[in-house]
Amino acid sequence: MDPITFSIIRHRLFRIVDEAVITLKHVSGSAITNEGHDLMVSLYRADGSLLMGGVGFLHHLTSAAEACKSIIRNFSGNINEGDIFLLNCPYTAALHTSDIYLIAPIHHNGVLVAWSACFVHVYDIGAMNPGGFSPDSNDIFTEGFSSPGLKLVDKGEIRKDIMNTILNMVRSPEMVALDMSSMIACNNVAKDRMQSLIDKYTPKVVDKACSLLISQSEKLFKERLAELPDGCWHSRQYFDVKGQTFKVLLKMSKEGEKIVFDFSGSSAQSQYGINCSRWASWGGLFAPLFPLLCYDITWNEGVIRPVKMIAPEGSVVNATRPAPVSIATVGAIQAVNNAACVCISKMLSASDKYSKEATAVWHGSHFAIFMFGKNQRGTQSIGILTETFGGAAGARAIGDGVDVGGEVPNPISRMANVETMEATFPIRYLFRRRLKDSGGPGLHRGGTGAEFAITPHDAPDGGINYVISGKGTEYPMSDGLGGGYPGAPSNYLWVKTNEALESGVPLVAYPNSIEQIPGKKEKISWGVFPLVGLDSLYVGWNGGGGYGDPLSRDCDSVARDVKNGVVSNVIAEKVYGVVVDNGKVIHKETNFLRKKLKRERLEMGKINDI
Amino acid sequence: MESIVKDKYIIATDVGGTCTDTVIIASGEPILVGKSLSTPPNFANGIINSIKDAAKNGSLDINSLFKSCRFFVHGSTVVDNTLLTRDGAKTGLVTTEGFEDTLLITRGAYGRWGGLTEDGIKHPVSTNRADPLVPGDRIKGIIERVDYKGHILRELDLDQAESSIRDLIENHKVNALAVCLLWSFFNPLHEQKVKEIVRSISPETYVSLSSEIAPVPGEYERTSTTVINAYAGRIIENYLQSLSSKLRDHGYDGEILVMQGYGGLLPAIEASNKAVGMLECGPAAGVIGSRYLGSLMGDENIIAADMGGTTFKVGVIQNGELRHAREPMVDRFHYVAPKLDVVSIGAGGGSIISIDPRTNVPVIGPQSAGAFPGPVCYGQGGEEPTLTDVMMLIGYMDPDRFLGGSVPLNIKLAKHIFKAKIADPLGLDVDEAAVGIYRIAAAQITDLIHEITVEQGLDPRDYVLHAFGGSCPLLCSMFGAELQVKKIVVPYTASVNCAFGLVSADVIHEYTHTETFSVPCDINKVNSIFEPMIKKAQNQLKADGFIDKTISMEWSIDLRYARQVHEVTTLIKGVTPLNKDSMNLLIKHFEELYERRYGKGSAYRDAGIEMTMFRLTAKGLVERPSVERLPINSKDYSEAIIDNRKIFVYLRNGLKESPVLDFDKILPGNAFSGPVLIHTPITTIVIQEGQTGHMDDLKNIIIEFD
Amino acid sequence: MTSKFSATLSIDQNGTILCSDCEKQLCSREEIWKNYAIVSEQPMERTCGSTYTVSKDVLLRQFYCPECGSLLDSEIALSGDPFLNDTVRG
Repeated sequence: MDPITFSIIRHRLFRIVDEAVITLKHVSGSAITNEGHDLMVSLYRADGSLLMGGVGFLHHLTSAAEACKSIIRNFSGNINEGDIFLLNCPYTAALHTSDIYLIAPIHHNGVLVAWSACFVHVYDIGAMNPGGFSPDSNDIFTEGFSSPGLKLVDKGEIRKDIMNTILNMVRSPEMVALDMSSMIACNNVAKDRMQSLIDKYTPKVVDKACSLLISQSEKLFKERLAELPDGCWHSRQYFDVKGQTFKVLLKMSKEGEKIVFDFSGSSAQSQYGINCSRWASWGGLFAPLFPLLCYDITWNEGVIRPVKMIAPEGSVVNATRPAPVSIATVGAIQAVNNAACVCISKMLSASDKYSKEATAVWHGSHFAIFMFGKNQRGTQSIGILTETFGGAAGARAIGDGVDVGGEVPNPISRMANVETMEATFPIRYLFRRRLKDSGGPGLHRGGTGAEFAITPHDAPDGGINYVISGKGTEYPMSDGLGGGYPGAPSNYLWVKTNEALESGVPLVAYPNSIEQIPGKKEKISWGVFPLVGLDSLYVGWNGGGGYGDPLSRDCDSVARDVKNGVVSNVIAEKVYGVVVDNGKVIHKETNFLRKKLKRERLEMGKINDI
Repeated sequence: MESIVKDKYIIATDVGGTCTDTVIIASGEPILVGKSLSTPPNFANGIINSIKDAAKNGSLDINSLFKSCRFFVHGSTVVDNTLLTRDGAKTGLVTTEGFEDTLLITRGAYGRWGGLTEDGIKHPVSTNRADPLVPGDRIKGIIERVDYKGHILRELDLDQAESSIRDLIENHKVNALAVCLLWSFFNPLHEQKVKEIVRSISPETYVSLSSEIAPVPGEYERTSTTVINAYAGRIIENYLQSLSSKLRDHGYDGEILVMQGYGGLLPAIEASNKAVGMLECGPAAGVIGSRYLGSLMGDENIIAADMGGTTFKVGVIQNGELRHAREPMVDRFHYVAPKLDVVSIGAGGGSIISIDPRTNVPVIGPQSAGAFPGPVCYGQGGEEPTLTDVMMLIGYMDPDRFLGGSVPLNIKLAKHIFKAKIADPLGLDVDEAAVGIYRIAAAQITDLIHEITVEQGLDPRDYVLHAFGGSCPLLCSMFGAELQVKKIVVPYTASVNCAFGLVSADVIHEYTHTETFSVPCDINKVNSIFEPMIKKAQNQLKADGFIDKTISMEWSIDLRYARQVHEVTTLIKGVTPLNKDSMNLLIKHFEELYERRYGKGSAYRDAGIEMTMFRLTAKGLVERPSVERLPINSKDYSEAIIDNRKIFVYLRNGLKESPVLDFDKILPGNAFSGPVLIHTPITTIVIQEGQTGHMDDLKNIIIEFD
Repeated sequence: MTSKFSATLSIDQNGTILCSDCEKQLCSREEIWKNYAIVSEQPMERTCGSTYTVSKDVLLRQFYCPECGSLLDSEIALSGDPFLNDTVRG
């Protein structure tokens, strides 16, 4: 194929995906779509294989491919021009019920030539708890509406009976309807633009370019794998749900041009919805693989071919129906992301050529907190605290992690302004800032997470409620690399000021830190809680992992971190061995301390020997 | 409409990175054009040189020119440059206690990926935030709190504020301060008090308040804007002062009007208070110039494309209206200020062509050979083939007549290097490869324009394409045809388009008020929001020297569907102050605009409509001399033919012998059928087979499709 | 000439794993290098301070070079967890 036409068609395909993403955001009115970028749009070939993955939540690129393939299998002979299919069953292909896939065949002159697929996290799915994450559900049946595939649009006509049935099962049906419209519009744009592209270049040429695009990605990825050393790398992730501990174990083996992710030894599935279906784990390992190993390769089927996954049936990474999975995307899938990130980065570190691409884990644990209740305008609303999309970058071989710098699986997320949140919900922020000592120590420091506290303000009902499906409090999940420490864990506190005032504790009207807020601090992480009166909710979110030995960190960088309030003097001395006074390194004491700490490490060895 | 009349000339000078351009207009006289090199850091010298060059072309003497000058209009990249070179003031930031990190954490990853291309976004491990203009230790939280309704919850602690400010000024030695407190756009009282404190401690410290610079919701963007303003504020103040005194030395003591990023002019005294307003004012002037040219030619729908050495920039004018950017950035910093929407890609004449060694696919840019060493064919030591070299290889440039023959081009060297680095690896001969690269460049530009037209619900077939800059006329006949635009205009003033835009701009003051109302609402309440803004605007414009007849006010309101996040600024086309009819008309226009921008079915009407921001655009109309039109001659252009050459013709996907014309020998009315080349003093205009061209009575070259 | 084994370790031409800082030879690549390093296991909070208030069972396991004391690797572990033993065959 001539490289000129190929280059032009490739660029156009990228633009088609980008335009479809913009359409999705324009129509969907929700903050989770617009701020969190919790969405995905991709193009697939006629057989359902991934052709061009867009920059959205990357877990979904592969599972939407499976969704296409499932529709092809189940609707064979009944796939017509203008149809749009819906699939959100996690045991068929999806990740969890609230991330609905709408999948559309693209025909040219009556011939099926491609598919487009997209998802948004819909406003509600009718699970036990509002907003999609349903910590109170103990099986898939209580996680809301779930379809292994149905035809939502028939030859261009929306099937009203089906749409009405779906909207009849969810809270805020009007907002869910809008989410549906956004996905229909998005697929229509993708279809229209693909058809114009084929009109211009003929089906034969476009088909050839598409197949070349895939074989090229495969070739490039295999070449990269061949350049990387063979070996076997391990990672272990722990996370806690309601007092129970779960483990994800990963052994990643790379041999020549093949790579295998083996999750044998991971915990048995949970009674809570943090489980991954097989498709969630499959997508979860690709979410870091695409940006870490294929940053300069088109994300498509060609990258998927050399990869194999082993995930034991009935485990937390391959749950058996009817295990609940509504929290998968902020549950075990993140353990899969993190473990894959660690193993891939270890492999990169073992390559002279690619070691600079290695990174410690970014934002190891999301905290999904959905507020619901009556807002200051008197209307019922549901909405996520978008701070979870603020994230924290892991430290990298090339330098420190970016403070509150996002995450790898969702490369272009962002969080809302305080003013936006205060205008939307009946809450007031007490503070929002980087969290001291949250970035994993190392030669390169992990990016910090952040902390904030909110309290009701102008709430007609005196407050609101929230659903929290938080993990990552009992175990740090942002692993370090090359000796770097993990980032700090997350911390969710219900501060019971109402109770304290009743018992005579004096009010602090404008506390500026968690310590200053009066009242008992109850650790919470799972379930539905009220936020009423003068109580507040405090969230400190996890930092990124560190890279390398903190005792080798440049002293001035430590002093700068102390001066900027992101590292305490205690940690500067204890972990970094740097004595800082008034923002300046005290060199003599630092030299002494660093030597002493090294000596202590060596002496520890002597004790072991005895 | 009668306007203030002072004297004869309007002089406009645009300072760009490399060149300073001048356009001078006067009634009944031809447009004068001048060009000279910019002279940083003393830009005023380059400005005078450029004016002298233009004056010389009209056989005028600069001092007498200034004596009869009515307005001096100015645009400059000085603020953009201050940011790019990190050359601004030592700046401190005062914000609400508890929220000191707002600027530094950039709403999370937003500041890390903002402004990156696809390649950067897909490679997060390689990306960082830009270093902030204010480091953490120069950010001070002060005790105060206002809520979402503008109610003061916690009074400003004056003592604590004073000691924070003293610390910044006395210990940190800052000489500029940005102040951004939560919800200050609703209630600016605390910010104003902070300003008073600074004044009392250190009157010489430059202060920017967010409630004055960017009174809009969203504390991150507001803070970032205020910081940029404080950072560059003193520099622009000094810059305009030194320009003013230089002009005074040459006998001009009138008003200096300064171009803003939204395409309007402000008197220098106001412009110097709002550095952030000058960001990207050059491209804005270009779009304004395009609109003016369109109005002279009767065209209201225009795609204004400008391609120079490093970038391709394009803006859209729809029904004579300009579009504003949604999330503007400068050097990876977000800011919020009214700014015309001009998008760009890194493709220009100097863009380097390379082959991705792994995929064997040719890539254009983003690196540029710059002015030095420049393209291979310049023979200045450039060893990387560029788009300009490709243009020469496909016959579009004359090696002996480039820039009037002042720079002989080395075609042999260009061919040799292009063959070795591009054609051979692709397995193509030189002609095929060069033609292929040209096609890719045209396709990428087509995709960019597609993005701002088709993808926004606009049909390029309704639009006229204006092609500006040194490189655009070489490519426009190809991508113009791909987009199927109505026609293409290569303006006579193509090389000094931004300066031309300056002479066609009006004085514009923008005022905003933020408050949320549900529709239907009390119309009187809405009118009462506009009243004080109008009063303020009238006083301002009168102080600028305008009278009632030359003052025009445009009202607009940002509307959205309740429970959706996208706002649409909607111009009130009915009568103002609003009555029931004009209010209904406004809502109707909003619904139409929303559907057009976001697509059919994108509106959720059941929850109603909300007003979120009230905007007043107050214009002082500058009277412009009428442009002189030239007599039309016969179609016969044979006098202008200077050569015949083989050039690339895209319909044949090959080369064809074609006539070459000298622009200076073409007369208005001459008409020609493609393929044909026209050499101008600064560029080459390519007209493809299947296209016709002619020169109109303003010396523009018009290209039409058969 | 050495090549990389991990961010902190190298392998020489004979297949011996070395500390990249001090070039101390730990063992051959066929063996488990962590058995030749100094191991420390401490409760997370004690090592990292109050932001690391986690389940008291969580240990930060660290491996140091027996020669220079450089930190070679860290693991999060529960008591009794095996070492995470990576192999690089080159």
